[in-house]
Amino acid sequence: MQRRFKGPSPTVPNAETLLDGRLPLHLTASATIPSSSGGNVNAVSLKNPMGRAMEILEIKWQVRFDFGLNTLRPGDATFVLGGALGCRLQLGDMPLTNGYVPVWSFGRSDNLQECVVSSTRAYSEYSWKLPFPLYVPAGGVVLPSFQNRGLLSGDIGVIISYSARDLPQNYSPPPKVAVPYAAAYVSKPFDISAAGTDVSNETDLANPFDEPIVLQRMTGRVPVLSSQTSGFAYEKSGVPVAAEQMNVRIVDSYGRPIIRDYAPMRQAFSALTRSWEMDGQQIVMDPKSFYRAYMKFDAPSNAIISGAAIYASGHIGFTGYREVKS
Amino acid sequence: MNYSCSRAPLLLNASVSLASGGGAVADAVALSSPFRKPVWINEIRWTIGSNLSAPSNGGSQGALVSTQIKVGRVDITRGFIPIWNLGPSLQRADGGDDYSESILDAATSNTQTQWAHHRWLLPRPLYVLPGTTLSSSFRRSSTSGAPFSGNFTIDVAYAGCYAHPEEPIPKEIAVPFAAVWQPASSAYVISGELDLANPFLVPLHVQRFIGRLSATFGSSAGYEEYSLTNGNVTVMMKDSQGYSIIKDLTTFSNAFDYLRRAWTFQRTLAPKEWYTAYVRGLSGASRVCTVSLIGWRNEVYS
Repeated sequence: MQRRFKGPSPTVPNAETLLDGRLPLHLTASATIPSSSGGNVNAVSLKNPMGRAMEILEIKWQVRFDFGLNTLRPGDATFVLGGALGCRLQLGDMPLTNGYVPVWSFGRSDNLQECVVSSTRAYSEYSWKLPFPLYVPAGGVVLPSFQNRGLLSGDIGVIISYSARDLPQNYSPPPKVAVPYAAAYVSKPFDISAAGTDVSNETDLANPFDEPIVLQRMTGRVPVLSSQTSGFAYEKSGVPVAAEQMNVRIVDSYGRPIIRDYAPMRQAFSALTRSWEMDGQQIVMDPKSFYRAYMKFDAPSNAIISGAAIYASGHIGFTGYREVKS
Repeated sequence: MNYSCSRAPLLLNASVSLASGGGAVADAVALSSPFRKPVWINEIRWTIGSNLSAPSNGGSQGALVSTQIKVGRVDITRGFIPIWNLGPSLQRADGGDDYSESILDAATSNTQTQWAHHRWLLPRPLYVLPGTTLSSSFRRSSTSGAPFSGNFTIDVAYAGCYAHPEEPIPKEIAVPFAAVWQPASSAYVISGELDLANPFLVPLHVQRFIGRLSATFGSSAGYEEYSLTNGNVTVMMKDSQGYSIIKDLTTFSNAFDYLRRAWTFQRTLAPKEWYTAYVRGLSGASRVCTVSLIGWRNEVYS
């Protein structure tokens, strides 16, 4: 039969080819974690439903706090949800975090005001755009587990999502893959009416691997909480604490200054992004090395609001990646 | 690979205190590379804190404090530039303390305090040679009284990394440059040939313009008033060849994005050429505009 139309034949795309990888994926799981407890999510929800390998591009968390179910009033407990919940990530036998890392210590902030508050619920959203897509073999899953650190007396709900892409059936990973890694140090709580000091451990901000870690960023957060019954919790405000009182100095395990002299947290970690961005600069953390953070908390220069017992702590983290043979 | 000499991050920090109308130089030793090693600087951050005699929001001390930055004898800024004219903003212009660049604290201290945070991500990382220092001088406006009380505390930090020991000194160093035009308040003002200009004998790679509008609050300038963005102030720009950059008088916040207060583009300005800005609507002593030019040029190291 003679074709009447010249040029490409109008055909229905081959359905099998269309579904052979390269499709975007968004995988989600959720959990509610009681105060001072741990919890997991349904891992099956975070697997590639196609049964193939995938690459994860970004990890996102939505953290929420229901006022009606807890003793705190609306307006309380806001702004520190990311510091109240820790997340540990594992891919098979490979740890992606150094234990439980506060959810807000993975990525940079893009807004001074991170929390959305209604009369019944407070939400905060955080995300970690991975320095390189993370290869997850077929059948594998990046398994998250959570820890409610007890910063707030109440349950915390979390939704974790992976933005990923499906890989073709016969995809072979490159000889080396970039595996992300995150670690964090949480200082002791300081009474903001008095001076104090603290030091991180060798295992907090550490590279425990035989490969160097190329750093993506360091993050710094300063939650400020009141211990009053109708207390408050801030991270963006309480600014004399972060901008003046809480200072940090960091050296590496070779004694080399990273932050040479004591600098306010808001100078070390830019106030607007809560981070020190290092992506693309080939800044490296040596194998089997660590950073030691020295915290110096100064007494306030102005009198503190009377009647309030207010505490602040420093959350310092780093993220990066290392190259591992696939 | 000698891991103990890898490219590690580095942050240098210094602090000054400024009275109204005063000036100071940040401690050069604190801002110098340890062990006299070469370093790369990628970002400069400032935090400006002050007490308030009366509640205030929406004003940023970044308008009231200017800085001059040099590396050795080489100018990074042409004279003193308001700190808020060096980097784009990451927060909207709003009277609310929750959203603007300056954060008001009334939750912890009895004396209200206000802290402004600004940063300049350099257009190209700056290579600082061993033995040289990126020096910062500061000057505070004399019109920075109430609602601010007492001295301003200014923290300046340089964020970057150590150079690798085996890294050769670059043959050409990309040196950032910033210039500003600060006209007097008048119905119609035009910038001069030396304001937004390339004073060098090499091309200047222009990265962006930053445009800021402010009004006074109390007896102090630096109040970034939202209503100023509604079309009262307009701007037009041409280059020294007469070509239009902003063709017709355009609302200031349309030319310089309302959120970032910046217009980022890539253009090369030939040696000794300049841009001319025409601004209308600044009548009234309370209105101030500053337009800055940010870029870099290549300097040969010999």
